[in-house]
Amino acid sequence: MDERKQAILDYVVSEYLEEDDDRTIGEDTPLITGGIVDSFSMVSLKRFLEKKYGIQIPDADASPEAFDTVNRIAALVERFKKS
Amino acid sequence: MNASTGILGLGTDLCDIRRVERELRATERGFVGAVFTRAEIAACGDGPHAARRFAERFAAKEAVLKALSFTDGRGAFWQDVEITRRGEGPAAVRLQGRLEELAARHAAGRIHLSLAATGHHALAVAMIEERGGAAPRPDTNHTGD
Repeated sequence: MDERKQAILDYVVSEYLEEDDDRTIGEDTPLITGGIVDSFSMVSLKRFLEKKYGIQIPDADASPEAFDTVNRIAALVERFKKS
Repeated sequence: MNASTGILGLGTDLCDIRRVERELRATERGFVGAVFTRAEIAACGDGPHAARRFAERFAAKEAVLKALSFTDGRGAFWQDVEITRRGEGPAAVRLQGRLEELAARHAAGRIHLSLAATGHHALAVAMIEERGGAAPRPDTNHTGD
């Protein structure tokens, strides 16, 4: 797993998994449809990505689908790092 | 006379007030500025009931976004849904920006909103009528609690 995906994964685990939650999260684990990240959590996740990577993710691109896995989130970051 | 012809969307959301309290304490995370409009921030204030007020408005925004999901407006449009409420009176919704455009394009009419809160949770239900008649009204709405 590359550094960016690992950083996103680490953030999700530290922020949104309860201490007694023993689920294993990988690059393709469903975060939103899997109930790990909800709409409230998306606010802080979007802010984290924007601050850490110096990007602005437009509201229309911050959809539940785009935030549903670490791989998709990393792809979103990559897209706006380039633009 | 009610010119509406049907219900286009229904949405509900439950917000944990304690999560909002945590975000309000962690100001560096920028939760308030990312989600709420200036008018909403002013209305919620910073007193002992601020977290509940923000939680009610967050739940209301999410309920409206879910009710508008038929427009394919999927995204972080929190600031495009402004919730207004005078004291503990009825709340109302004002759409703006992209969401206002989408609502108008999809013939969304009046948005009804109902809010409730207990010690730890804020609940909101939103219902969107289909716009009827010739006069478009995508942006405003009456509500009750």
